[in-house]
Amino acid sequence: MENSKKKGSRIIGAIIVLLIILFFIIEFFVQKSQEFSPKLITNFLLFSLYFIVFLLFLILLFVLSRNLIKLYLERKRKVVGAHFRTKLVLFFIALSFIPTLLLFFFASDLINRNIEQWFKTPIDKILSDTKSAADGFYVQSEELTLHYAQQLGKAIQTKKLIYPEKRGDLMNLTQEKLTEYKLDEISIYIEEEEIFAYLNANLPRQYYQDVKANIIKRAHLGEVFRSIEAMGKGELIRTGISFNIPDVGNVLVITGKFLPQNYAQKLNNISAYVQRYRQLKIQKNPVKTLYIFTLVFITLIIIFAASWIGFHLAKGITVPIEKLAQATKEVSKGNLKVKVEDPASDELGILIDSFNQMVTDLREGQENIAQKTSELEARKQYIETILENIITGVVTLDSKGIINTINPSAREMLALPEKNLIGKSYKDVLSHEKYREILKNIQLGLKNRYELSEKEVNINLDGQNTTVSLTLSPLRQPNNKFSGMIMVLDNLTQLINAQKIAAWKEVAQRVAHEIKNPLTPIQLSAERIIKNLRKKDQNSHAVIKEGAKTILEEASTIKSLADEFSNFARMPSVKFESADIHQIIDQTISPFKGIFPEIEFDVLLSADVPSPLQIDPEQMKRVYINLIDNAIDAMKKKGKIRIQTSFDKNQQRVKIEISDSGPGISIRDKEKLFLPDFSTKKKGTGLGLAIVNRIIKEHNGSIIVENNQPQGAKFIIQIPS
Amino acid sequence: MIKDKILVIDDEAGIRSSLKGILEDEGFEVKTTENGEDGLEILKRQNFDLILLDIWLPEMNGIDLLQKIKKSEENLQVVMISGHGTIETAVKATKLGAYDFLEKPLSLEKVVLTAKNALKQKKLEEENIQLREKIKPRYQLVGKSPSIQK
Repeated sequence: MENSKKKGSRIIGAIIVLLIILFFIIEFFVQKSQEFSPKLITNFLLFSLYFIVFLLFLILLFVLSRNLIKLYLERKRKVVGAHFRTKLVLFFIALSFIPTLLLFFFASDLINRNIEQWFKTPIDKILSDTKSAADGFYVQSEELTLHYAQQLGKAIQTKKLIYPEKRGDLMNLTQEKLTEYKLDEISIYIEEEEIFAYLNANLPRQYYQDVKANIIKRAHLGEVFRSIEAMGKGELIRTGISFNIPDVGNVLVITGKFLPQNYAQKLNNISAYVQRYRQLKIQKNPVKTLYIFTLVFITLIIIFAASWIGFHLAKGITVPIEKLAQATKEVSKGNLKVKVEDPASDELGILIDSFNQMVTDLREGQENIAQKTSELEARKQYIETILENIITGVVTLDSKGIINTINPSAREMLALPEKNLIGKSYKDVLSHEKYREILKNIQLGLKNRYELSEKEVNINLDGQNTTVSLTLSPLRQPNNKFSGMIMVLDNLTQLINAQKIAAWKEVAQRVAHEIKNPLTPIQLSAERIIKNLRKKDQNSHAVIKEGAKTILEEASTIKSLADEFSNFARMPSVKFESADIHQIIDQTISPFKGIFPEIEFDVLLSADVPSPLQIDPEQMKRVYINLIDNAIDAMKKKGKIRIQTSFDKNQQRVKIEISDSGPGISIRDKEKLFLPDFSTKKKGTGLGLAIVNRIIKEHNGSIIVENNQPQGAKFIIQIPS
Repeated sequence: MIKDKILVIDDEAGIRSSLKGILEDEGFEVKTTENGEDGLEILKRQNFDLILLDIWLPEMNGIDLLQKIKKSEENLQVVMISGHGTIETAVKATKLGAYDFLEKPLSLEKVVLTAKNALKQKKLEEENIQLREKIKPRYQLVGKSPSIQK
């Protein structure tokens, strides 16, 4: 489309240029032809000139009007830049139109008037006068020569010089008269025979022609002899007089005058000028029209050129603006792939370059954002997928306790059938009595904004006790502002069950071992007794006695073992009452101090610990006794025991540390330390620490063991206040 | 006749005394000790033909003790006593040179039989060595030809 448009305008341009060239060529020919060519050709050329001008006029008019109509339509359609273009084109046309039109009128008026003036001058008269003057000159020359011929003839007649005897005299006279009359030729004929001829020595003799015989004959018959003949570049005017002399015949005297070249030529020229003028006068109107047409033609070209320059200039400005406007529209629509292609080198070019740069930057920015967004989206998706599928329960709360996320595992763990929990307060969701413990922890976490790790919480769901490990972490915004909590729940029920099973397996194994141990001596002793009974020698009595004693001893060992296990099973459940923990510690330590003088007790009791606490004092006493017993055993009844209490305000927990300076506990033993029946003591039942663990658990507390510095073991008990 | 000497290492007094009783009935000379350290001390001072060794001992365990004993006295027969007689412990013990192992609870007959077998084995081994020692010089006399001497 664009291409064909360009092609069309190119063809039009070529036609215009061709017509202009043709116009000037034809005009040149017209100028030339006026001098010599026939009128018909001139007229034809002129006509073709009219035609060319008319054609050009039509073409220019068409192009101009087409452009103007296009502009008008664009204006109507409100194409960007059309107003500006119209203004610019009209301005240029006006700018060129007014002076051109003025010039046109002035010039055409000038031509008109000049041509009129020109033809008004009496050149006709001048020419005719000059012609008659020239003609007169010829007549006069003829008359003069005729006169001389008559004079000479008279002289010949009177003196009778024609007779042959007087020929000498005639020749002398003729010669004399040639000089006297300043003639160029004198010739004398009798009848048709030339007697002699005298010529001026200066005449171009090579061009000389004899008088024709028939003219001579006619002269003898009485006709006036006169002739004008070309002679070389000049002309020879001859006149003659014929007379009759008896006995001799008709005598003809011819006198000639030579008109040199210039003179004759000029006279000829004048007549030619007159001829041409006459012709010109006929062509007066066509010539005028030719000039007017030329003017119209030039005017048209100027206007066209002006409008074209206007268009071109406007295009140079509006086309980039239009493209920019279009591109801007595209950008506003969201298409950022636009690029304004324009090789403008001026300020508009800079504008376009900046615009392109801007769009590119914008696009890159947007692409960047899109990429980041999709990355974020993918990341979010990823995290959501993880949250959807992990068996760990994850719940996030904002600072006001509104649930932001809750994953299926958390819902399942907390037995919350309702799916749409987001946006609700945790208090409403966990309002049931069975969530009391968990609710209390969240409340404390939100209030104190502290981190709580792996707190074991029991939830009774449909009669089934579920143990959940609860971890609370405060969420902070980049500016470290508290923005909520994340709660991580792990179902420990299965793990605890597995641990229980493992523990009971070990207990069973241990019990078997403990029973097998006393069994060996019992069996051996019994067999020995039987064997000795058969022998019945002296010794057998003592052997039997010894064997029976061993059997009794081992039986009592088994009995005490059984007692201890049944005690553990029958251990009373805790009875909470108000008691002072420091008081219990003091009461526990004092008997030990008396029994073990080599044990040094170092007791550091913190005044921060609240009192009284809701605890079972009897059970707690047992905890201390067991731990101190163990420590004393480990240190082989010699060393230092340190008891320290403190209070953690954030977690509202009382901490009791009991450390010794014994050999410490190996990593391997630490794992099984609190399981029933683990003992490093050969004679221990392995129930001491298991009892301690159970009591602390029933107080909702925890007990862990660490290495004491510089040596020994350290038991850390934490119970809620 | 010289009595075979047996050392019992077990931390339980009941087992120690009943083992000592039945083995003395069989005519062995029996010594007992309750831990590995003491056992090693006794071994340094006195020669024994057989050791009955409990795998589970306080401080040094039976397997470690077995290794130490085998290192210093190769010919000494060791029978392990175990309350937790697992296959692994048994394999490990036999690999380390124990003759056999007894599982708790012990029976008189099995203890006596195993002890006797172990001692018999020891005697056979010793006899074997003695016989070889005796045979050696004979073979040394063979081949007095000049070509061999070169």
